[in-house]
Amino acid sequence: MKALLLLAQTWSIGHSYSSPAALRLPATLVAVRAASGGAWLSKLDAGVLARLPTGAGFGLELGVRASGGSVRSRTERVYSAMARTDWSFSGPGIGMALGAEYEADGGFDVKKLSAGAELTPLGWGAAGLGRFTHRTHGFRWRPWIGGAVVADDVFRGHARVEAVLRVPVGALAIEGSAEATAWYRDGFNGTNYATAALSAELGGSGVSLTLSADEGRRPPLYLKTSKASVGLGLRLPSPSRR
Amino acid sequence: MIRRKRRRKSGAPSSGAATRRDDKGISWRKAEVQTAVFAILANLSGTVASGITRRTQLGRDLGWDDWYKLSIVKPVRRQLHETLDHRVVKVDVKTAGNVVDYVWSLMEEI
Repeated sequence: MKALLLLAQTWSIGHSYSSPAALRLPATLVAVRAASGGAWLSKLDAGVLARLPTGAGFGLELGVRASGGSVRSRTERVYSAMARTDWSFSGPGIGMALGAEYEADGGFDVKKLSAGAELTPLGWGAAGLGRFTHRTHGFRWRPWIGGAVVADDVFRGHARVEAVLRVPVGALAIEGSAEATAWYRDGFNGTNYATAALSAELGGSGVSLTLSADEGRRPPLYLKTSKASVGLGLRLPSPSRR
Repeated sequence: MIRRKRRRKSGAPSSGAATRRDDKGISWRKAEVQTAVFAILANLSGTVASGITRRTQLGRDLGWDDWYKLSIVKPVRRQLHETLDHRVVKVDVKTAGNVVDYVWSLMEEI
């Protein structure tokens, strides 16, 4: 573990490791209590991504993430870990990520291992694709399309779009981030899941006041979720220092 | 860390050559490499080269994500005739000055 810490070139903390925009979504820990009283409940969404050097012309990314807290039932909680590497092809301007992911529900009753690939265009001249439309404000997005084979022989295709909108208001850096994914599974109906956050970073610290929401169904159990919360968020490194 | 990929071929110690050759044998001064790289970055950012300095950060100042950084590989190969390592660009290159130094390090000392 110590060797991993020493080897890691870059550590990032955010909402999830699935994409650069997901890492821009703040990790959130929210305490909730009904206005009528009752017990305090918690809601946690956090992901950590480490980039390791391989010295072999490609990199390796390792990530863990958790969506938990007492506000969610055991089956609604999701714990995941993944290993990912990537290549890019500058001729057609396409980036490709290959990875394996382990997903489990809160009780570890459902555990799934999957291996897959996904593609994204590097730039292609489209407005906001991979870069903000303006230096100090504006919009950036990136689409992905991919597929994975899950351990129980189900093919799972997906399309994902991530987007970031940043608007400086005085000294505050207001940023909206969103990630939406649609899955298609062999033998099942399509399903989708979206998560979004609006955050105001406090002085370039990485800590932000965050309004977050998630809606839809996601692996491994595809249970319906629909939640919104306000709380403190954390992103490291801070987007204003990247 | 950005490492020099190509060494002086004569075997003599490096003297920080003022002129280097690209893979097509064309001679470049570092200032010329910098001008060409800044023009590429400006073109990819939809801005003007005069707004870019060596300290301009591709992520924070130009708003590029890690994948967009790889957009520099093709124009650098076309104009400066050097092939950049994608991994170095994606992970190690953070500023405009890093790009200039990396391209310069790939050129052959004369």
